[in-house]
Formats: sequence, structure tokens, C-alpha cells
Amino acid sequence: MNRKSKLSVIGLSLPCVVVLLVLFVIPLAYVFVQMLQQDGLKYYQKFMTDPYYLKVLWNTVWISLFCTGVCLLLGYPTAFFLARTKSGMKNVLLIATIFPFLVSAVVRAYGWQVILGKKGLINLFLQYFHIIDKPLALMYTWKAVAAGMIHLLLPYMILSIAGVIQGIDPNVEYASYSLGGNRQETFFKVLLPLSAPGIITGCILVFTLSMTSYVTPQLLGGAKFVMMSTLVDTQINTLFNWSFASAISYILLAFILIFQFIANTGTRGIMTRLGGAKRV
Amino acid sequence: MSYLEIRNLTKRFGTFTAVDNFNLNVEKGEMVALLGASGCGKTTILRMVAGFLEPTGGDILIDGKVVNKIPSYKRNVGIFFQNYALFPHMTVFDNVAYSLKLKKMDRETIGKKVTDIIQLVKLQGLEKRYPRELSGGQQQRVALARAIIMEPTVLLLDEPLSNLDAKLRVDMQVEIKQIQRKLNITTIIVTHDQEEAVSLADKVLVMNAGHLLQEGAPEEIFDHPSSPFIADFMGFTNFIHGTVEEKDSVGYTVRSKGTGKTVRIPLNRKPDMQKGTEVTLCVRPRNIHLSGEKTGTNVFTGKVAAVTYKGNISLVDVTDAFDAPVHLNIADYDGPQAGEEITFFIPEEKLLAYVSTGTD
Amino acid sequence: MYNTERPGWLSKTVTALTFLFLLLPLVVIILCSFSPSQILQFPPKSFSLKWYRNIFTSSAKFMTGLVYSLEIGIIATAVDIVIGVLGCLAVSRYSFKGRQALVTFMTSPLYVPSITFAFVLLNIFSQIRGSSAAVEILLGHIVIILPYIIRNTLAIMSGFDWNLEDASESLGANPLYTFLHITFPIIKPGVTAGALLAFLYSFDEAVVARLLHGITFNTLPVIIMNYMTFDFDPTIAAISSILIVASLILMIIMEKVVGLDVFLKTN
Repeated sequence: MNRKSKLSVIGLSLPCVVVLLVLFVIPLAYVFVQMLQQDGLKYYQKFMTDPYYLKVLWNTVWISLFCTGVCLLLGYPTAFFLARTKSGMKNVLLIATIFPFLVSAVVRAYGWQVILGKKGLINLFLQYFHIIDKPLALMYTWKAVAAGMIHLLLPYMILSIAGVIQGIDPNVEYASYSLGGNRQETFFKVLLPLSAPGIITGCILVFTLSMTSYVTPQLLGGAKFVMMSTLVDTQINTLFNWSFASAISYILLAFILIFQFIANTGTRGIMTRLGGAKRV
Repeated sequence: MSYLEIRNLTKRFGTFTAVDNFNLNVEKGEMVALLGASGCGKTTILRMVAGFLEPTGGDILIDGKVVNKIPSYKRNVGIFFQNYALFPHMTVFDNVAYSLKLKKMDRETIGKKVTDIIQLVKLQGLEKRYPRELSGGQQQRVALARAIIMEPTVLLLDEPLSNLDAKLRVDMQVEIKQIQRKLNITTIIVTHDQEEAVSLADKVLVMNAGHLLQEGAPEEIFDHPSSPFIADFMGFTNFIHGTVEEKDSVGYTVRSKGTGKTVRIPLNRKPDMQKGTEVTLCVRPRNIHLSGEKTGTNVFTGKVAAVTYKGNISLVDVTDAFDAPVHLNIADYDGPQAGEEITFFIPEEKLLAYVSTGTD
Repeated sequence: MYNTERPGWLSKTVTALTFLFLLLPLVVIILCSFSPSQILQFPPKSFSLKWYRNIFTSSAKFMTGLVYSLEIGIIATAVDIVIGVLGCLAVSRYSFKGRQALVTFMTSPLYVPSITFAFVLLNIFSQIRGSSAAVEILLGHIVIILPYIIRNTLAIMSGFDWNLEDASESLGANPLYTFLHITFPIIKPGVTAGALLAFLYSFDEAVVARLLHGITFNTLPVIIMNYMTFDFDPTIAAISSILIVASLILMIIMEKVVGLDVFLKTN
């Protein structure tokens, strides 16, 4: 690359890089180091050795796994439908999938509050039909948080998978049939593997977003079902223990970064191998 | 002093040398072709003349001035891109008028000039269309019009005919030549197609691996390529390797490797060969004829391996005549079929001879 | 024959259930907003617009919050369009060692938990005297929404024919003219899609905004969130309904103007 191009690259990327360094990277590093100097590893140890806090981390992990799984089960068939349907419904459905994206997590959590509350939709419905006598306590449980998060994250999974399926050459399915495969075999041996990149991307994305979500657990889990983000919030706004909040925040960050690294390098082989049957 | 001079032009990318000490002189109004296979450096030279690439060494002079450091938008060099590179968001009119708007001409003048050029390239009525609404041939004309309307000092054509179908190609060859002559624009064509080079250019330069191999008028390159490599490129696809057995006052007798048959070639092919010289002979497929006689000078027998009908001609592949298979192009072929014996005749004067360097 | 491309009954059923699930909370909110009673009633007994009126008069100052959200969103998006498009040009037009690393760097805010970043900002700004909540939130959002613009712009640039820039230059246009008249008009759909997503993300963002909020400076989502925690009346439903309908309209406009393919391709 000649000198003129090198200058251009530097010049063009400089504003972006500088902004990110000054507002993002340096603050993250600075606070980390500062807290370390101030408190040492005391609060990290506090987190790691107290079963209550470890349970919070565990809660965050398993509910994220749960949500990822449900999103996959619901999202794959939906994505398949979206990608392959020939009806005029496609655009309508795409809009229906995407526009919830644009609605704030706060509003969506509110919707679930209305549905799951003691006087909410589900309880009114069940009581009206005399299926139960007393209202169910659905709010502030893991079920409420899960419902809210699945609702929030499903579009990500759907779009991720639909995009990949749309790019698969339909001829590979016909090829499979012509070579003697039936519908199930074609699905499991041809279609599913080829849509794997979308599944992987979607799962990584949904898992990460679940782990780091704040609004949904805050509003639907409250103090009863605590996730990592809620924990940080409590430390900051209720207990004013910024040192501990710092430790928890960075533990969460480390967890996510390690997960991303493992997930991306671990699946790189599959992603490159299966990226082949693209529509020409 | 030539209008466009390229002196000792070199371009290196890291350790890879794309262009090595290339020289070229083009007179005003002359059309020159750089001919070679992909990767030979011809496109790199084009981009350096255009101003998109800076030479590692050497100079490019236009009308006496060194232009190495002048950026493309100040060089007034018109370029026709292989994929046309038409601006998809502009109409035909706006595409063609682009350079004139940059020169801040008034609307009336622009209107007139654009109309004239569009008539010249026969695109009347299509001014308001967008590139995606045009056929390949029409897009090509827009690209040409856009480049020539700015009255460039030099016009660069990158594979101008490669994307067109056969019939269109012939038509466009004639038109491009006519337009270039009429406007007297100094032009460089870059192509891998020897037919394109030979039909359009006043002078052809054959290139390989960044070097110039041979320079000359089209007929000269076509009939007298200076090496077996160029000969192969120009269509002499039959090769006979052998040794000079005898030399007399009118010609040589060459004994071929493999089957040991003898071939006669005239002395003037290469007057300075001696007995024992290793030689490579080349001949064009279409210059080999079927022979009724089974004996005679330069009459050979072989076995037909395959006959491929191509409409105009049939390709006949013959083995067991020399060390390598021989290809014939014969129109209205009704001779021996696959598996049968075939007798053919190679006229002496149609053979080219090269002293083997061992690498052919 | 096989009708293979068409989805079977299984995917049709799951799809229907999924969309029901996705739309249910939103529909419920809209229905609630028209019910005149304080508590939720289902089915709603009558129809009233009183909660909509309350939006404007409530002490929670929704309208002020709306204005703040809009201001921050617009400014953050504008800044990010400039630095994002320039950055994407650097990475798309040229190839060099470390190109992929630069792309990852430019989208790195996606990988950091909002709460972590929000906390860091809180910490830093508390050590700097004299910064207003508005500026703090703005700076935070500039970082957070940048990846959305980067991803969409990169996607559309990957299909851009860079020869067009050479063609423009050969015809006499300098690099700036080329960018304004050739490059940018062609990549505009991708940039617009990214900008829209970025703006909306800033508008909806509640983590950074909540942690950094000022005494009187609150963005709309934070006001809604606080209201939800302390009050229970359906004014929330009213304002939420407005936001839901606005999102829907925006989506439909986008579909007409830019098309929705851009959402499927940014992976």
C-alpha cells in the first residue's frame, strides 16, 4: 500500500478511533486500574467466595441459556417460514418481526407486567374461567424475566437465521431429493448444517444480550430474581457501594469477553466450512 | 518527441515486480494495444498512466510533461473500464455530462456537446435511461461517450470488447476505430484478445510478466511473432520439436523428435541455423490441409484422435504424426473420422522456426 | 411434486404462535390505554382517552423527557454518521494488515455490557466536576450506538464498486466531489438504515441514561421506568401505545423507502 493510501486510512479512521479511545477504552481501563489500586482484589474475592453472589451469576447464566434455547426452538421455524414463504405476507411478517426491535425494552417489560401481574391478563383470564381461586404470583419470578427476555431477543434470533436461510441455494435441496433423500433427511443433512452459521451467530448474540440485559430483569425480576445487572444497580443506587459495583461489572465484562472469544474461535471452523452453498 | 512517452516504467508490490522497465512511445492520434495474458502487467501500466497508481520507478510523460505526481483528476486522461463503471444513480445524459459539469461549462454548451457525442455513439433517445435499463452494448457506448466527451489527452480502453457477444464485438470494433480516427485521440488499448489488438491498433505490444516481448505493426506480430510463446498466443498452436539435419541453398531439413519424420522449411525463416541446431517449428491450424497424395515433401500421416464440429470449421486432433498432437481447422470437413488414418500437408512457407532454448 | 421450498405445517404453526407471542404484550398495552379505570380490567369495560391527556399534564414531565430523548438521539446519531462513515471508508476502500482488527475495534461497544460501561461513565464523570447529565448521556450514547451505523454502512459498502470512484476521478472530480456526488448517494440507503437503528437505540436506551440521570434531566425511557416503579396508572400504557404506533409507522416508512433486506444481511 503506498504512502498516500496509508495517510488516507489513518486520516479517515482517526475520528472514529479517537472517539472510541477517549470515551470508551480509556475510561474502561482507567476505572479498572483505579479501583484495583484503591481496593485491591478485595471485592473480586468477596464476589467469588460468597455463595449468594455466585448464585446470581449462575442465575444469569442458566436463564440466558434457557432463553437462548427457547429462542432457537421458536425462532428457527419462524425464520424458515420468513425466508421461504412466497406469500405476500412476507413483508408484513418482516415488519412484525422487526418493529418490536424499535420499541423500548421498558415498554415491552411494562406489557409483560400487565400480562403477568396479580391483576394481570393471565390471572384475570384464569380466574374468570375459575381455573384458579387465588391469583398466581408470576411477577418477580424467573418465569417473568424469561418471558420478557425471550420476547425481547426473539427477533434477533429470527433475523439472524432467516438471513442465512435466504442465502442458501434452493437447488441444494433439489439435489438432495434427486439423489434419493426424503424430506427429513434433506432437512437434517443438508438444510440444518447449512443454516448453522445463522444459528451460531444468533445463539451467541442472544446469549450475550441475555447475560447483559438490565431493564427486563430490573422490571420483571425485581429483588426476587436477581441477575448480574440488577445486582450492580442495587450496589450503586441502594447500597452506594461503588467498589463492589465495580468488581461485579468487570466480572461480568470478563465473562462476556471470554465467552465471545471461546464461542467465536470455537465455531470458526464450522462457520467457514458451511459458508459455501450460497445463492449465486 | 512522442505525445505519450513511457520511460523505464517499473512497479513493484512488495517483493513482486508487476512491471519491469517498460518503454513505450505513442504519437499523437495513434492507437496502441498492450496485448498479453492476465497478470502480465498491462492493467498495472494502464492504471499508472491513468494516475491511480504511482510508479516505483521510471516516468510517464504526456505532451512533454512528467505526470507521475499529478493526481488522476488533473490529468485529463479518459478511461473506459472493463466493467463500464457507469454511475448507477445517474441517467445516461448525466453520466456523459459529468466531466463537463466539472469543467463548469454552461448548461447550453453541455447540452449541445452531450447530444453530439450521443449521436456519435448512436444512443439517441436513451438519454433519460438509467444504466440498469440498458443492454450490455448500450452501456458500453455510454462508457465510451463519457470518456471521450472530455476531449482527453490520452484515452485508455481496458478490454473494451471483452464483455460483448460475438456479433456486437465485430460491430463495435469498426465503430471504435472510426470514432478514434475521426477525433484523432491518442489511445492505448489493453487486452488479452489478439484479435481485438490486431483489428484495432496501429501498433501492438506483446507483454508477459511485466516485460515487453515484441513491438510492431499488427501484421508483423500476427505473421512474424518473435518467440514460440508469442506465436502460441497469436494462434500458432501446433509445435514440432526437432533438430536440423541438413542445410542446403534453399532450405533446411528438420528431423522431428518422436516419430523422426522430416520437415522442410525455407532458408529465409532463420538463415543462421546450422546442422545440429535444436529447433521448434510452429504452424497455424488453418494452414494445414488434407492431402490426397500419401507421399511428398511435408506430407505426413497420422491418426485422428477426435473431430469436433464447430459450425464454420471442424477441429481435427491428430496424433502419431510428431511428438505432440497436431490440430487442424478445416471448413466443410468430410475427411477421416476418429480412429482412422489421416494424411495432411504443411506448406513450407507457413512454418515458423525458432531456435530452441529448451524452455519452449 | 415436492414443494420443498414452501414451509410445512410445523413451521407455519410455530410461526403463528411466535408472532402471537411477539405482538401480545404490545396489543395488551394499547388496549389498556383506552380503559378509563385505574386498575387493569379485561375485557375493558369502556373507552376513554383520559390517560392520553394525562401524558401532557402529568408531573412526570413526559413531554420534556421526549424532547431530551430526541435531542440526544439526533446529536449522537449525527456525530456517529460522520465518524462512522469515514471509518467505514478507511476499512472498505483499502485493504491492509490489521483491517479486520480495526473493524472489530469499531464495533467493540457491542461486546461490553451496558451496565459495565454505564458504571464506568458514572465513575469517571463523578471525578470530573461540572459536567451536565445531558452531556454525559450524550457521550455515552455516541459510543453505544456507533456499532449500528458501522455494521449497516459496512454491509452496503461491501457491495460498492470502487471503480466508480476511479471513473469519477478520471473525469476530473477531486476526492471530495467524488465522495459527495458518487460514493455517498449510492451508499445512502445503508447509512440511513444504520442511522435509523442507531437513533432508535439511543431513544430507547435506559441503562446509561438511568445511571447518569440528572436531577431534572431524564430521558423518556427512564421517566417511564421510574413511573412504572412508583405509580401504576395506565398513563404508561398511553405513552407506550404512542411509542409502539410510532415505531410501526417508522418501520413501514423504512420498508417503502429503503427496503427491509438490510436487516437480514447485517450478520
